[in-house]
Amino acid sequence: MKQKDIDLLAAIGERLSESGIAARPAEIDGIIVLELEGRAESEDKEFDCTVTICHPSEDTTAVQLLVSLFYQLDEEKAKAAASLLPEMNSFLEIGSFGCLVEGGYLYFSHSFFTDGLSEDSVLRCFAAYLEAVTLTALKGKKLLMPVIKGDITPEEADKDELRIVQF
Amino acid sequence: MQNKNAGDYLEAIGRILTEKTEYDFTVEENEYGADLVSELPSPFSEEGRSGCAIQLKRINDDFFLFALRITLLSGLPEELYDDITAVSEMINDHIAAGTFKLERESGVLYFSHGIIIDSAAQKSEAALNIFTALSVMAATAENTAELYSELISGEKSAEAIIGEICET
Repeated sequence: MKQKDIDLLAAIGERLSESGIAARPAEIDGIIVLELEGRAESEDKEFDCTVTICHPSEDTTAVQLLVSLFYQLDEEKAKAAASLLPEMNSFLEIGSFGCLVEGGYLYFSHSFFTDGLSEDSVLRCFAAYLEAVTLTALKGKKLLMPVIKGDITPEEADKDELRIVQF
Repeated sequence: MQNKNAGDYLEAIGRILTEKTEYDFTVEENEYGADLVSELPSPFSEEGRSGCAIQLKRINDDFFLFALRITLLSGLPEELYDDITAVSEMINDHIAAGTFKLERESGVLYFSHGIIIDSAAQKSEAALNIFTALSVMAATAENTAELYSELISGEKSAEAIIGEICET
């Protein structure tokens, strides 16, 4: 991992700590990440989010935010939830929901490019992205819960109510 | 943001993007406000052009939201919708996870990506950031174009393509 990526994560962590969000550096599969824990005030719900730096091409840098919605769902539930994701994703401006059926893992993620922006702009934008990402993830989790709990089938879900308005 | 302000802002961004690339970016007004539009080379044919639209939405006083869209394919055969959706979802999981979204709407397949820009940032900063996203989107489109061509021509099934994506 490049030193400037590590420095950027440290700067993000520092800025978040100032706003009361706990940010811990950790190492996953040799990659340094930032693990965040906080509370989305407008939803009054806790979230956990992982922040990593990736390079979609050789000379570009992106900050990736990934919020885990559900872990270790059985295959049937994961498939049921996954079938609703295209509808849930269709009106989003920031980020998208994804599902790894094998392992039963549902998540919401978004990456943004830092190229061209000053560090201060990156840090300010990060806060705006984090708010949009966590609120959308929490709304998505709430929408998927009846299917995960088995209260309704994906076919019974109201398609109009699956659309999330972000802004 | 009022239409005129959005139009002026986009026009300034468009001038910078036009200078940086060999393509014209022009402001087009529509019922939702104003879009910055251009025609980039299509990944599906050397002569073809695919549409690119940049829409500016204001979130609040501090931030602007830019919605970027690059058209990959239009006139998709309806009978392939399900297969294309299945392949798109798999690609979404594999292309720089969460960077772009592949979407399908009325027979058109496109990449979309939302960008938040600090309203205090210089227009040149915003333009460079948008340029980076468009460049990576265009490169990703080129990489995925072959997969869709194989699917649409019937050369390969959705299952076979998904299997190949998973292996890589």
